[in-house]
Amino acid sequence: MFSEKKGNAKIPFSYYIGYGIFYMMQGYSMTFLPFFMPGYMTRVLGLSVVDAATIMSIVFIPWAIKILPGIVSDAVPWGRFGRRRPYIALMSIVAAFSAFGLMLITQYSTLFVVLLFCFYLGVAFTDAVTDALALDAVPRERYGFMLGIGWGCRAAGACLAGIFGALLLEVYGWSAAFLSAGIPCLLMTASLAMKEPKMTTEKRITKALLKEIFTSKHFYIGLVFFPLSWIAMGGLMFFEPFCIEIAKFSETQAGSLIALNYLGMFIGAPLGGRIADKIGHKRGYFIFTFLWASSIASFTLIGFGGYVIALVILCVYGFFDGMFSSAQMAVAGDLIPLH
Amino acid sequence: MWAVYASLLNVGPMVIAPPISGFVITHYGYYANFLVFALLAFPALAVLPFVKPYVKSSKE
Repeated sequence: MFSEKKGNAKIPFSYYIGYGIFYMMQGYSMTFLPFFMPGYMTRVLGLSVVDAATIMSIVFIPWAIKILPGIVSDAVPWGRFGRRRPYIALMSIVAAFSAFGLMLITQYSTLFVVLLFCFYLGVAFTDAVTDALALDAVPRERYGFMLGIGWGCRAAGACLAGIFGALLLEVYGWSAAFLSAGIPCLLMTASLAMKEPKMTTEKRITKALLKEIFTSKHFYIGLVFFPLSWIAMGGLMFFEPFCIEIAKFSETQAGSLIALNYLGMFIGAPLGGRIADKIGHKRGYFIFTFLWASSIASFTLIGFGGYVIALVILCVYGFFDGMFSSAQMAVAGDLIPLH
Repeated sequence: MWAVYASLLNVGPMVIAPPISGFVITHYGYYANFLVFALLAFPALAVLPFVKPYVKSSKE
């Protein structure tokens, strides 16, 4: 088996591959639903933009409370199966079957919101636990690169979602599209290729460690910093309706734009991770923020410049978004004590 | 602990942003929405100097 040696630690390539496949599959599902769902809710289900935004806020809640599955996974192991891998297997299945369930919904109902919520719950749970497993399994000096690979592969999956998802929608309709969002969730179990390291005494969660963390001022600074740091990404939540209703692009053109965005991210993420590892994670974060914000502002040119300008803008945005996100994840990784 | 910070990262774009986006688009349109969110990238920089690695890296 090929492996990369770093100091005394060997990292099997199967870890990178499993982690990469996980993020590619998650990227597909997590791009397809958030990107096309606002348009589905406004144009197919007949909801207003405000109602659609409210529903998105509700169903995204599992992403905001990943602290709970994180703590459960840290503290409640499944005997000899470990504390990470059983949760990944179980919640991948929950996400997949929730997406399959959406195929049965033809008009707005509470069940629609519940299924969408369960989908995001499953994906959010596996996301948190897979990242925790990766951080358990690789040494700290490889965080930037490992997270960059994850982010880049997520972009590749999202790229597929833009092109393939839009084609599926136009040719076969929403049922086929929901089916295609569920199958990758089952394939997210590829991250089980990473083995859990043996739990040492110093890696176990103890009351003393929890007290140390939750009384640390760094934790409370993180509590302010992290929600603020990524809020700008939410500006693109209604990008698909913008493409269809304002810029007058077709569904396939909108999908291709989002695919190109993620292609840019696929290139930018590992590069940003490398640069941030080299110049310092915080310094990287600071520089990439300016590039990222400028690229978001450039979206205002899309309506005046046409489709070709939109392709360039989305590609550049994806590239800077990838760089920024890698640096940001690396900053988050630095704040973790042992887990 | 990773999950704690990963949760917090997602609070911004997934829970706080949609209502802001819905409000701005409804009242001011899509272009204003892009400009508002471009500006929202910067407030975090004010907190960045206070964010310290748990174990200080040699490069930070």
